[in-house]
Amino acid sequence: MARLDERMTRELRRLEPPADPAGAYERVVAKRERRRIIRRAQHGVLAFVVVVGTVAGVFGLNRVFRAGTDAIVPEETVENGLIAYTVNRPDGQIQIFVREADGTNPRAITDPPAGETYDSDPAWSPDGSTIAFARSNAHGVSVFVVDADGRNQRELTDPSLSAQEPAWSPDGSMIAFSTGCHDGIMVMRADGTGVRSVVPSENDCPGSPTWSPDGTSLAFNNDGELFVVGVDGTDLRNLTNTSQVYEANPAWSPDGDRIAFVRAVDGDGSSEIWTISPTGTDLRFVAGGELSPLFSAVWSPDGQYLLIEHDEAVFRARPDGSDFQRLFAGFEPAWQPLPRGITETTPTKTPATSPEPEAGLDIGLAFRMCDVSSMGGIDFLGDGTRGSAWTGIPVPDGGICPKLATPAEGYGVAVDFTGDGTADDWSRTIDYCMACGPWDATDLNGDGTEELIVVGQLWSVPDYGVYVVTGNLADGSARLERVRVAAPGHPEAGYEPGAFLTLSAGGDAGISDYISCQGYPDSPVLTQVKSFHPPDGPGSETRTVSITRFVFESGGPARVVGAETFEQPTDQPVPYANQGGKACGVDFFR
Amino acid sequence: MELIDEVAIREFLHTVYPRLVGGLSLVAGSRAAAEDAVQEAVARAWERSERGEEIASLTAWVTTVSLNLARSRMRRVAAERRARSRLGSRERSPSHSPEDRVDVTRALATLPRRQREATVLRFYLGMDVKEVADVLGMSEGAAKTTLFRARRALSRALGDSDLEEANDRGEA
Repeated sequence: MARLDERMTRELRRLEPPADPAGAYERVVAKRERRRIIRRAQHGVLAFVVVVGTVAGVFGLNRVFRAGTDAIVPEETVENGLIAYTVNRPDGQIQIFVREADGTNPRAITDPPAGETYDSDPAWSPDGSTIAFARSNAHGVSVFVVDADGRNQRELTDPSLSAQEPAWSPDGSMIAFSTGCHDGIMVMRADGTGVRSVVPSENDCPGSPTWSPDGTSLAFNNDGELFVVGVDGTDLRNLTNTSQVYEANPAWSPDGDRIAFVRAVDGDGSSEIWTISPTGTDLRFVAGGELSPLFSAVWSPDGQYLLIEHDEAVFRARPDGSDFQRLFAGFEPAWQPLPRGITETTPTKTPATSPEPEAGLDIGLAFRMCDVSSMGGIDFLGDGTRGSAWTGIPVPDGGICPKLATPAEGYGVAVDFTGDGTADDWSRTIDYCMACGPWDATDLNGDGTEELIVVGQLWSVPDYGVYVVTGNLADGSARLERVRVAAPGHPEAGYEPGAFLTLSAGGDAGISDYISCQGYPDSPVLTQVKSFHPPDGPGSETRTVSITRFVFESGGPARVVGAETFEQPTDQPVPYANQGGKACGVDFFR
Repeated sequence: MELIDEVAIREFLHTVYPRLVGGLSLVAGSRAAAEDAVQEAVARAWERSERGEEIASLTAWVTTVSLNLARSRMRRVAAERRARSRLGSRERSPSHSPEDRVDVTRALATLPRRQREATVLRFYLGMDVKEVADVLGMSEGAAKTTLFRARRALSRALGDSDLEEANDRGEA
């Protein structure tokens, strides 16, 4: 163990040598003095609060707990069922759970025995009746199977084989698996007999096998490349051949046309999801950029969605990257195939029951939520109806309110369209919640309804998300959606097309952000200025400034109508560098 | 409670700062962002101490706060990097050649944030599991499972059979 620790330590320290502390003391002193000045200036004035705004979102985010799977277009023969995934238990075990596809009704499937036991790599059988998974403990690692209701668990392989990452063949008769870095990729019958090698290991680590839908081939990763091989071990092909790019975790689409995988390119911390054809051509980007790092992607049984693991949570997106939304906290998702006619899931928004009052449940949410803060008097519908908005920290699977929430659990925004004290819809798209809350509501698009502005972050540069209510309350279609940036955006300023719109106002070391507004309320244009100062010390003659102008479309995204990025001398004032007063009806600097 | 004065700050910068910046660079993906976050955290600790706030351990406090700062600035740093790149600016990562960074850096980049942070705290900064748990605000059990996931992913990515074998046995 000590040797392994040393090896990992050596690898990492070779990458990043220690920093030179020369000049650090002077910079710390300068920062301390700046903080003193800021504190004096802000004394009694700056209240760290947060609010999130509302503006229309065309791309519909927030449907995390929405009833039904109305957006899913089922294929002819199979539908999407439950989602299996894994969670970290507080006692140090890893356990397999399932949930409805809308994120509700989590329940445990495995019950790892005492000791450090890790159940991982869940994989559904093609008929949706059984889950295969890998169990690691002091004896080694084995492939197990268990019925979808958690019963009838049995071990298929000997721990000495190190069998893991099981993948069912399309007809359910075989299971492929990797063996860590021992014996390569292997297959066996679904009852654990007939083990044979497909891809032997030769001082490398082939892994993550995935079947072609016709059952004749397997895709897998090895040494940062993607490969396809016949199930009999012949016809091995390298799909990627990219020595400077790392590719891994392939997942074959149900129609056989695409393979999704994770791709890390240039060592800047990015890790993205792409798809490629099974012949190694037609590379297509799915998601990444500011969403990076993205860890893996698996297909929905109907092929309409990808489940993506990102920052210890499960997300769902279309194969073209659109409709990217967070579902719930967890790892290693796998979507249950449901051959037509087997069963139907009927998610509900009915609040869960609890023996004790819970903040989230009390306002009608289907999940528990801690530290709820609220704001009243929001005219979402433009008809004089006054509702409320709340933010809070959803209680993780462990059931304990976190002292300080982490983005892994997501942060909740709930709204009451009617003012009856019950949440009508909610979203988990706040980025930070160190002091989050509903901030304000204003009519950013001039359509007579208010958008909700919610703050999600602290320190001295609060970030604001903008949410809009779409649909109609009368027919039950009203939804809370976070506004995204319309193409082409302003990537140089961090506004990628399709990304959530995040406004920011305030200043911190090296950063000054300003928000101003023109034409409000008749035809408002909101101007966001971001100023990136050079590091403190010599060579700070210039700063980089990005100016982005937005208009907000009714029921749609924020459209960039002006974008420029330039460098300017630091002795010149930043354009639009206001630090107070309302912008489009909202005081972002209060 | 730790006395935080000029002597303590200078000692911290001499002994802890170099390695902490290195570790944070792996988390944040930028040496400049890591330096800025750690310096800012030290300044805040110093200023808070002057106002009478108690800080039990300067190292633990600065590690936690600088991680928080790095997280909250990740998106901003990315925007800055794009802006600088577009303008042909000079900022570059120091020292190592691209070849050195390829495997481990890219594998590390694919890890979820908490796993990446736990890996750096455990293996780069040499913290034990309890210290990792304290800094990341999680239970020791959660720290163990997080490290298990990280080590498994890294060993698979790097093709290290020794690491993989130990991971199979649950040695985190």
